[in-house]
Amino acid sequence: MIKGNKGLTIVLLLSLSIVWLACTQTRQPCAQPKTVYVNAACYHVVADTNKVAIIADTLLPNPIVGVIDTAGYGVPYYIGYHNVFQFSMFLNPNSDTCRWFINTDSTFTASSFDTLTFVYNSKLQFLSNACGYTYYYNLLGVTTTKHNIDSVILENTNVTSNVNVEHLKIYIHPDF
Amino acid sequence: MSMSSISKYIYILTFSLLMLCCPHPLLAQSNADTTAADTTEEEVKSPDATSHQLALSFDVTQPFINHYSSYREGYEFALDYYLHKELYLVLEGGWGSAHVNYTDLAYNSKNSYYAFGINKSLISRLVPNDWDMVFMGVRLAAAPIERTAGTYTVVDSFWGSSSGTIPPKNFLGVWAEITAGVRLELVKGFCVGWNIRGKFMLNGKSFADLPPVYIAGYGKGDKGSTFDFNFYLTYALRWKKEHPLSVLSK
Repeated sequence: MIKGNKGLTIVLLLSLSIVWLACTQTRQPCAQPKTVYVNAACYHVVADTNKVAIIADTLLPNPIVGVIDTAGYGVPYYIGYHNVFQFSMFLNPNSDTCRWFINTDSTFTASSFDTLTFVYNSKLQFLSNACGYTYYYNLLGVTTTKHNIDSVILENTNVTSNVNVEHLKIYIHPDF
Repeated sequence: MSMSSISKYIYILTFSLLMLCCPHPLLAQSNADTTAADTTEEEVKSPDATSHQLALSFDVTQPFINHYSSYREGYEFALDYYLHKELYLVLEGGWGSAHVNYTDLAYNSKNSYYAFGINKSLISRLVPNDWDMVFMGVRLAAAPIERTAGTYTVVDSFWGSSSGTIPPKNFLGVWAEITAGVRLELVKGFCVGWNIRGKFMLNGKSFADLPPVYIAGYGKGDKGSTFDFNFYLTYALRWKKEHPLSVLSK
């Protein structure tokens, strides 16, 4: 049998246990975003040599980007930002379509606003006991008006909590 | 990493460092006994040949955590039997429950668990009545889990919140553990000891849909691996081995 520092060890152990228990929380804080976004980036065809397009990133000088709510009203979401290359859009989990509007430069008139229409399936997704549930999406298609947007290409259809995925390439009209 | 996780890791690290840094009587005893053993080698029987030990342990931290926690309750026990050559067969078990009642998530769960494995003492017993040990071990554990239907709400300030129900589920959790710890005999037959444990879920896919916030024996059900500790009070039952020749002579 061992004799020596046993009493000290037990006291230390119980003391530290109490400290640990005191720090036990009812619910862990949620450490991840609960809303997932469609990440879009803007591009420009700068030249077309021998039928090979040369594409460059495009900085929108002073864009206004917003969501169109269920009543059909536009609600600006990004406003006052300059030289925007990438932005993110959230979807409506209670519907299978959602619309966003984009004005590539705020000096343009209302008629130069473009509308992006997303068609998708939503899927309930468990994140953690700390965060609860959210919705992930599978994009079925995206359409756009063509005032200042030339075209859109769906690069990745799975909209999840992975923030590093670019889902949508938006090609700005060459004349812009 | 959350505050409670950090506190827990600091606690385990601090205690382990204390155990390493304090002048350890176990090592001192080991050296002293080695000298003694060297000089009386012919007289000392092999510890293996003299007695059996069956030890029942109760994790005393669980009632404390149950008292302070508003969402979980658990009890953990262990039974080990000395085989030979510093090897112990270990059976562990327990039960527990969890009650989640958040504004956006609510359900109940309960489970029992069973584990078996071995402990290997890292310090050889030099005399038959020396049962103190510093050990490492492995476990394989399984837990039948029952979860009630869960209700959830996905809060969305723009589009409006949505609610629903997740159906109830019974499933099996299987995990492996590696463990290390110390057990010291305070008075004859009564011991104290602690374990630290790393646990690794082997069938994590079963937990994809609303895993319980607490699984007795494992910890947080929504984690693929967990780190845990136990502080055991142990009673060891010992009896002498009969020598094979004594059986023949009866």
